[in-house]
Amino acid sequence: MDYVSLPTADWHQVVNRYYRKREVYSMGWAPGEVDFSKLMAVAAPYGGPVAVTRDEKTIQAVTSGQLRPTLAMYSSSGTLLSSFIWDKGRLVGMGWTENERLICVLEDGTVLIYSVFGELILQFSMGRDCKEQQVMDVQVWSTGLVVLTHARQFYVVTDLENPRPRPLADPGLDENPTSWIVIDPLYTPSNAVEVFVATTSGTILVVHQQGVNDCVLNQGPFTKMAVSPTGKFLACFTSTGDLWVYPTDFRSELYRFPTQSTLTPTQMAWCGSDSIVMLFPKTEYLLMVTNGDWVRFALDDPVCIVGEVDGLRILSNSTCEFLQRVPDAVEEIFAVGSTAPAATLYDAAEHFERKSSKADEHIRSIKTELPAAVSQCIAAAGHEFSYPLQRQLLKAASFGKCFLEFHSPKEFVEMCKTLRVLNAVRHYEIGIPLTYEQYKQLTPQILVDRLVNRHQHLLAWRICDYLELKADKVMVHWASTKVKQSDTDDREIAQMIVQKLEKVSGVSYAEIASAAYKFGRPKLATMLLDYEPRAGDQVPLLISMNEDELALSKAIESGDTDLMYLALLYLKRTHQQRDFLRIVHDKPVAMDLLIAYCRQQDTELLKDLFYFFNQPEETAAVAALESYQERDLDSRLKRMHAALKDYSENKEFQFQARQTEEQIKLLLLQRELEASYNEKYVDLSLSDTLYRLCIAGESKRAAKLRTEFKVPDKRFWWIRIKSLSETRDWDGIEKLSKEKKSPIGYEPFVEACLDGRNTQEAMKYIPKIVAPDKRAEYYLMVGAVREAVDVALKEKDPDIIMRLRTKTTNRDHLAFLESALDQFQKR
Amino acid sequence: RERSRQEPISVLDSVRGRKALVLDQGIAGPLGLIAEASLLKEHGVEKMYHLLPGRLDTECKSVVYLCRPKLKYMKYISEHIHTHESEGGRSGVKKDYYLFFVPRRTNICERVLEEEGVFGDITFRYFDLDLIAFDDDVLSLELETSYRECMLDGDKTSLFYAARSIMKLQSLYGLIPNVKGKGTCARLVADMIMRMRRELGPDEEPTMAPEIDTIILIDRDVDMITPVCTQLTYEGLVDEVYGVQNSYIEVDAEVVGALGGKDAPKPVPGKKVKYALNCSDKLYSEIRNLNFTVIGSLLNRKAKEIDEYYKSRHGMSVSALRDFTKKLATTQQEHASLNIHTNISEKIMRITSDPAFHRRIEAEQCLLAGTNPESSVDYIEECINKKDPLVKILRLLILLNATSGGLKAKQLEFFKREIIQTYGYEFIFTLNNMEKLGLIHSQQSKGPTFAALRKALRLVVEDIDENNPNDIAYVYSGYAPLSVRLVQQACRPGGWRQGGMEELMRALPGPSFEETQVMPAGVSYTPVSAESSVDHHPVTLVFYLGGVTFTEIAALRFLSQHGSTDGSPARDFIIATTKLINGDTVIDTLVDKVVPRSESGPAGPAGGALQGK
Repeated sequence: MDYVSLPTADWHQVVNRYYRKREVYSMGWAPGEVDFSKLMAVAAPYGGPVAVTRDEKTIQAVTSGQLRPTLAMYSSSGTLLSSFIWDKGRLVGMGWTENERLICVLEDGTVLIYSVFGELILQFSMGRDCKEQQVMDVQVWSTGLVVLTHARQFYVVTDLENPRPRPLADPGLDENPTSWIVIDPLYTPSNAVEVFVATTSGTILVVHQQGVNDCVLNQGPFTKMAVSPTGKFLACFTSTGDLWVYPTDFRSELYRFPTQSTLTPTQMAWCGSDSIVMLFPKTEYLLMVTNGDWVRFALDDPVCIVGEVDGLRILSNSTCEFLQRVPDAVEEIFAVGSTAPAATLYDAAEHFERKSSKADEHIRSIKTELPAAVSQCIAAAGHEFSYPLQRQLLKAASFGKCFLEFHSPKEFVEMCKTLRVLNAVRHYEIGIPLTYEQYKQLTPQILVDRLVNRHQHLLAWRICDYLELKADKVMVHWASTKVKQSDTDDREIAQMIVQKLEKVSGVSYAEIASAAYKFGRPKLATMLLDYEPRAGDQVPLLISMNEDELALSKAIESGDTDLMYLALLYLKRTHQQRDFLRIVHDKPVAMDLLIAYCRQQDTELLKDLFYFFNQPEETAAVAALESYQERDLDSRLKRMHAALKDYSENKEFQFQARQTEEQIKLLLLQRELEASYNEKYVDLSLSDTLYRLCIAGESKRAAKLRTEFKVPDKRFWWIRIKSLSETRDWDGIEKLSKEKKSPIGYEPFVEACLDGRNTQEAMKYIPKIVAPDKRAEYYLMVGAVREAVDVALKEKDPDIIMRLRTKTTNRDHLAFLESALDQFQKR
Repeated sequence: RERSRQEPISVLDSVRGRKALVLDQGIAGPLGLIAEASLLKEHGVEKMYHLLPGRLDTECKSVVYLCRPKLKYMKYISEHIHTHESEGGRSGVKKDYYLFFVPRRTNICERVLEEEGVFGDITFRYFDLDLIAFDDDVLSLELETSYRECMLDGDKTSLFYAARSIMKLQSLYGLIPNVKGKGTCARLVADMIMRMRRELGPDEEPTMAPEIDTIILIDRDVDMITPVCTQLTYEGLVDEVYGVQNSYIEVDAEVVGALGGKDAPKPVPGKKVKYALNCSDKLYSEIRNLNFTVIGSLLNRKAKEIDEYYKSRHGMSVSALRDFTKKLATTQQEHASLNIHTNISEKIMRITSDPAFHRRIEAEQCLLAGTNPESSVDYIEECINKKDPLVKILRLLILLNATSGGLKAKQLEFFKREIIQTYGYEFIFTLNNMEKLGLIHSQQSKGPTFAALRKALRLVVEDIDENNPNDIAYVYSGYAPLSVRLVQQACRPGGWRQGGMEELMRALPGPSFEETQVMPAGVSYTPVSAESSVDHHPVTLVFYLGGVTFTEIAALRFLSQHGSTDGSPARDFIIATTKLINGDTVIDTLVDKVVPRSESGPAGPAGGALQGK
């Protein structure tokens, strides 16, 4: 058919709108290979593939050589993607996810997920209850599925990547529902799964996890239902042949259309968001209902229909057709007798091409509306599948642009880009008949993902390149496929992959390596993983590949201590302790970390470790530290003895050994002291012990202890002075001062007296202070200003007085100092 | 600050209903900086608890833990859950537990919780708190024990966080072209940021022109001299005396009594209140970095100014009166702040005028200048005999050790013995730790001595005029912080490779490096030259790994303000660190806390009776 000559040839008018049904592909399969009248067929939206298998519910003659059914997947253009013998059991239903995975549900509740190439990606069970009750029916939405069991219970899986089957509330049905349908949680107000269940009593129940709501309808019973693409409306077919449309909140009813058919449609789907298409058994036409009006489309073949956001795809035994409401832009330009500016522009462009002067006339007539007309032509080009029409419309737009002074070329350029992408994927070899509208909804990124899933890596990569999208995922997928398929040498294939991926940034080598490992090529995986820059991805994979030593090295390189721990603890779990420690041995960073961990978490391992590496001093320190945790002194001493033994092993730690030995001695002594004085001694330091003994008046015992522990003279004197001052034993202090020449001078004596606010006593010791400066200062401090000045006089040093002046604020003293200074100067 | 405020709130809002918030103590402080208690209340926090071992008694059904991913905390949490389960099991109330790791979830912690059997009871999240802005120019990760962990334990987790925070800064302010550093940890962090850049890949590179010109990474253990000296700036002394925690100090209520105005109830004596110290206090930002000796007269002058201002209103014209009232609010604020700082500085003055304080400073100065070290040795011994606080002894010992290239073997053993006998055997572990870190060691004669370093870097500057300083040495009244001198040197042309520096750098621990990062395509960077415009100085980020002191901050601020004195281009400095420290806090992390459990013997007064006044 020549679209350019007559674009409206396939338009059907319904009330005041136009619909068009046009062929996109003639099917690539052999005639008779696929017969939709005999098959269970499910097609994926957004121009996706179709899965077919023998329909077990219809009785049919088994043709020769086909004892066992096969399951086949075809592209929209009828290219075989995969086919395999179906021997898994009784299939209840199928469905497609948004990333074009085929979901197959068996009667016993087993769910199988396949790629378009028939690879089993995941298999799981819907649970024991499902198995016991047996699955009756299944509904799949873009990311999940719901099954109905023979016990009339619903079970749901919301995330097919991590399936966790959960029951919905019990709808309390006595009879099987007349029909049921699930609504994508994306469109429910609660964002939770809701199932509409039509009952024999004529109402619809909304079943979700928390409960069941009755919509209290009496128009039913409904035998067939369909949800509109945006989830806003529900089309319901009653057993009496009426079609009802409700908003999905059931606040009102939108309209009723009597079809006068007594048979329930075998297929029913929305065509965009404004019309419903039904196929009745034993008829050779599709009935489309829109806003209370209807139209019939004759069929030549049995079909499988699939609703799209902006229309309806009709797959038949021989063709793939697309039915849609004619987009506004297209309608404006091509509708018979249209006087819209865009139509005029399109005309003008045609006249221009024919070198007719009418071109100019037309352009002049729409001068002010020209920008809108250009936009319309660009938009219309997007809605056309035919290359000549696209070209013609773009030419018209470009022609119109010439007459505009300021017009951004962005719109035009964008559309050209989009069309190139769309035309490429619509090519029958690829077979994705995406419309412009669908493409916008789907997003280029997801289109690329779908192409990758179909192993169309080159096209996907070119699209990324062309649209400036990130191509790392495409490349990773390509490489992952490569490692599975290729049987070339590991090194060679690694080199090839790295070469190709070098220039692509953000490539996850870990993912490719993971694929290689899963496919049984651990060596290749390790090689590839070496290129992974992200240690966070690299290390866990290396661990799961049992490359644990390498994992540890890589973790150390990264500096991320948590990764190091991950590798360390894995090594610890999987190795004999000796081997484990040997591995850690030459990696000081890991070793330190392990020790830090052990100190907090595993003291036994810590001791083993120090023993293994022959570090007795560390073992000793651990034991000594542990001793403090013991409650009774005997076990404490036991630990200290152990520490002592370990310290003694190495001469270098003589000091520690001696101190530990002395501490043991001290503890034993303190126990004795506690027994004799009924006072706490244990855990006091040696100095404090001496001090307490002095306070208690046991200076003899203190002296004995002091010699035993070789306490220096100086410190012992300090302790004695302090204790005497504490007990205000002034006589004692005096006695001490006369014992012998003080090894610590006499300032401490003065200080001790001053602490006890006894200036009189202090005066006894000030003269003994050697440094004149200090002596004068102390005199001043106790108020003996005259004596202070005398020091200066004796030393013949006026500076002493100068300094004294800064040490006091007492007016009398200051005056005295001033006059003394005067005298000095006079002299 | 506003940006960081959003995060904790969204953390809280992600848990519905009223909840108990359990914080690890290290986080409570920083969190207080970005979200006040009242704000937390608004977002459903019923009660707040510290994360402590033992039991957690709370009425709330939801318990939100916010803590660092540390093993000990995991143990506390599982202890809590276990007790709740064994007790709540009967009443049938099951609590919901949420655990927010700061700054990220770690495998190791989850493993520990798994081992404790509570993994399934907890909902895990994380809260990416990294650098906290204490001031316009000071950022801290607030990782309290990072010095010990990195340098002693070999647990370099905090370095990884430091590297991550630098990456975050780079994503905001552009790639930093020049990377310099000194020390083992600095090297590791530099390697990590290069590696992380590779991990990100060229697509994620920041594309703005670099706003930070240079980053200088310095290990704390390159310069342990500076923190062990007594800080002599106002802020530094406030820190030494009160201990600044997350820019707050705890003071007696009387000190800030004037805050509430005349009608406020008389503060209860002995009660402690928190007082914030940051740049929003105008007076404080004026005096914080000054040497303490000039504070008294400066505060006096301020007081006079304010007094004159109040007096000036007598006999004023109407228009002048209007101006007067305009200024009144700010003056009153200033007046209140003046009162507080006068009170604080008076208290500090009481300490600094004590002869004991003088002797300590004298000892430090002698050691730094290398004059009469014997007197300092005697002084340290005397301090031990008086049983002065141990950290003071350790600080002095470290200084002695560093300035004299180690201690004589006999001397070292003597001091160790004195310390153990005076303070107790348990400090043998602390001494071991210090020896492992090389903070104390016996003398070995190799490489340039401290004297050489002092001479080459002019570490000791005589004739410092504290009133009108012309060198950073004013912060320690004559000693210029070694770390800041290294920064100064790094900023000169030729950097650390110039002249005899190379030799000297070798005398300090760890490698030194000066590298440049290749700018991503399309990002232009013009190296700084002497002719760079006057009003826009290049920005240098100095990252202290293991902590920074207030005096070092003051010295770097001094350099920012006064420009360079040696002809190299003036620079603005921003300081980042793992933790704000002083000598006490950093050395305290080296003390293995030992709490004797033994209960033998009769209960008497606890030990430490000898402790000095």
